[in-house]
Amino acid sequence: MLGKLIKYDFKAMCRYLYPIYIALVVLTLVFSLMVKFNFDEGFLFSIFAFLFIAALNGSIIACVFFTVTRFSRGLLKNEGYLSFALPVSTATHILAKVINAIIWAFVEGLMLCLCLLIMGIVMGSIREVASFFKEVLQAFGMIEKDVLFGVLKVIVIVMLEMIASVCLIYAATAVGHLFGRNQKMIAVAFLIIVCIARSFLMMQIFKMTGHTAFAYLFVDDLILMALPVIFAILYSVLTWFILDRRLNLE
Amino acid sequence: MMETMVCNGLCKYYGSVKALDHVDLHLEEGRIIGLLGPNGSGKTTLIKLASRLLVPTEGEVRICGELPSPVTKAMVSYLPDRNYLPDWMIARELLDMYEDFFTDFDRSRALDMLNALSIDLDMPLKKMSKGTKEKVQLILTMSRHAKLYLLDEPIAGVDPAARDFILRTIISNYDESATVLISTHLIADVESVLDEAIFLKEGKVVLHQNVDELRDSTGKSVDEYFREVFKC
Amino acid sequence: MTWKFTDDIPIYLQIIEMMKMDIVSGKYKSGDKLPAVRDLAMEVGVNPNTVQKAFAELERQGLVQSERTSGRFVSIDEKGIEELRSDISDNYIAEMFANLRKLGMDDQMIRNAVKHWEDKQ
Repeated sequence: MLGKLIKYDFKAMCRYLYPIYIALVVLTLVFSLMVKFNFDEGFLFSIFAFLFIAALNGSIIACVFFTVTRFSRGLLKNEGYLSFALPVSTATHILAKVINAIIWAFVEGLMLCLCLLIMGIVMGSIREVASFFKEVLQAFGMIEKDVLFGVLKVIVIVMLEMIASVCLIYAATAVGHLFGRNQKMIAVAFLIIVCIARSFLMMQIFKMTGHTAFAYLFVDDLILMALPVIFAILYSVLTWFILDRRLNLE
Repeated sequence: MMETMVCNGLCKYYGSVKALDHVDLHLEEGRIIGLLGPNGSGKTTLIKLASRLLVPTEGEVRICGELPSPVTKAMVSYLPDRNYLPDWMIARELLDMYEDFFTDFDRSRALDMLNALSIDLDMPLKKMSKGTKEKVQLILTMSRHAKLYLLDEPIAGVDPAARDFILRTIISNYDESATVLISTHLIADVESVLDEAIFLKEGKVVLHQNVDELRDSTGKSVDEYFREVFKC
Repeated sequence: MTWKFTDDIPIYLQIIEMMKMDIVSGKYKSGDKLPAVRDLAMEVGVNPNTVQKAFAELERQGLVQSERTSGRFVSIDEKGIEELRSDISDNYIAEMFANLRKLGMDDQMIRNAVKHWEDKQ
C-alpha cells in the first residue's frame, strides 16, 4: 500500500512540476546558447538571464511548495475524505508523504545538476566536461579517507536535516488543522516557535559538549548526527497523533 | 443474522456541542437503512465515526465486530457528501486507483455503469457537470463488494432523473450480505427503497424501526411521520 | 420507476395488489414466469426485500409458486383467476358504494345513477 500511495503522490506532483522543469531546461539551453554565441548583451539577454535565474529559484520554491500542499491537500482537504477511507494506516500515510518529499528533493537536485551539465556542454565542449568530471574523480581519489568521510557526513547530515524540516512543516500543517480559523497563521507561528526552541536547545547542547555552532558539521559525534533523526521522529509522532486522533475534516 | 455495524453508547462532542449523544444501534446485513434527520442532527458525524474519519469521545462503533481500522476500511465503501476525488484525474485513472487500493473493487461493473451513462472515460473529472461527477462517485462507491456502504446525502441537490438512477444503482448493486446506510433529509425520495428507518434528533436516536411496521402502526408514510416527529 | 405508491399502506401490500391486477388483467397468464426479485425491484424502484416479502405473501395465498432453480410462476388456474377478479371487483364496488353513500345517496339511488351513467355512455 505504501508503494501505491507514493505512486499517486508522485503522479500528482508531476502534474504541477513537469511544466516548470521543462521551462527550466529550455531556459538553460537558451541562456547557454546566447552566452556561447556571444549574444550576451542588450535587453533581450537581460530578460533571458532574469528568466533563467527565476526558473532556477522558482523550481526550488515550487518543489517545496507543492510538496507541502500535497500533504495538506491530500490529507486535510476534500481529498482527505478519500485518503482516510483507504485501507491504510495513518502512519503509512505520513511515511508516504515524507518519502514523497525525499523523492522530489532528489528530482530537484538532479534537475539542477542537469542544468549545470547542459551549460557545461553548450558553453564548453563535451570533452571539457568529461575531463572536468575526470579531474573531480581524480581529486576525490586523492583526498584522504578522513576528509572524504567528513564530506560524506556533511551530505548525510544535510539530507537528514532536510527530512527533519519536512517533518516539521508537516507537523505545523497538522497543528494548524486543529484550529478552525487562521490555520495557516497558526501553522507558521508553530513553525517559528519550534525553530527558535530548537536552536536554543542546540546551543545548550553545544555549550555542554564544548563545541562551537560552526563545528557542528565536522564533529564526528554520532549523537549530533542522530539529532535530526530524533527531531524528525518527534515531529512525525505529533503529526500522527493529530491525524489519527484529532482528525476533523471540514 | 450477522450484524454489520454496532454502536454502543457512541458519543462525539465538539467542545460543549453534543453532535452524537449515546447512540446505540444494531444494523443487520441485507438491509437498506435510512439515516434520517434534519441538518445538524448528527448524520454525517455518525458516518464519519464509522469510517474512522473521526474518533469517538466516548463509546464505540464496530464494523463486523471490529473497531474502525484499516481492516474495517477495506470492508466499508464510503460516499462523502462532497467532491472527494482528485478532480484532475480522468474516469479511467479513477478506476485504476480504486482497483489499486480496494481489492473488492469490481472494475467491469463500474465500466458497465459508466458506459450505460455514456460517460467519457478520458474526460477529466473537473470537466464533467456536477451531476455527472456525482454519478461517477456513486458508481465507484457501489462497484465495490463491500460489507457496509455508507452513503452521505447521495441524493441532495440532484434532479429527479438522477435520483432515480442513484436509487436504482444502490438497489441493484448491494448484495444480501451487505448493509447500506443512506443518510438524507429528503425522506420522501428514498422511502420506497428503505427496509428500516433511523430518526436522528439532536444527536440522539429517537426511532429505529422497520419501515413497513412503521407504516402499519402509524398509518402514515415515513415522510409524514418524520414531519410530525420533527415539527418545528 | 413506473409505479406510484401511496403513503399510508406498506409498500409490499401495494406490490401484492399490483401483481394481482397484472394477473387478472392478463399481463401475467397462468404458468407465466414472474420477473426476478431484483429486476422487479429495479423496475419499480423499491427495496428487493420488499418485493421478496410481497412474493412470499403471494405464494402463501397460492397465487404463485416458486421452483427452486427456475424462478416463480403464476400458479393459479382460470377458475382461480376468475375468483380473484371477482374479489377485486367486489372491492371496487364496495369502495364506490361507500363513497356514494357519503354523498347521501341510498342504495336505490346509486343503482339508478349507475344505470343512468351507463345509458349516457
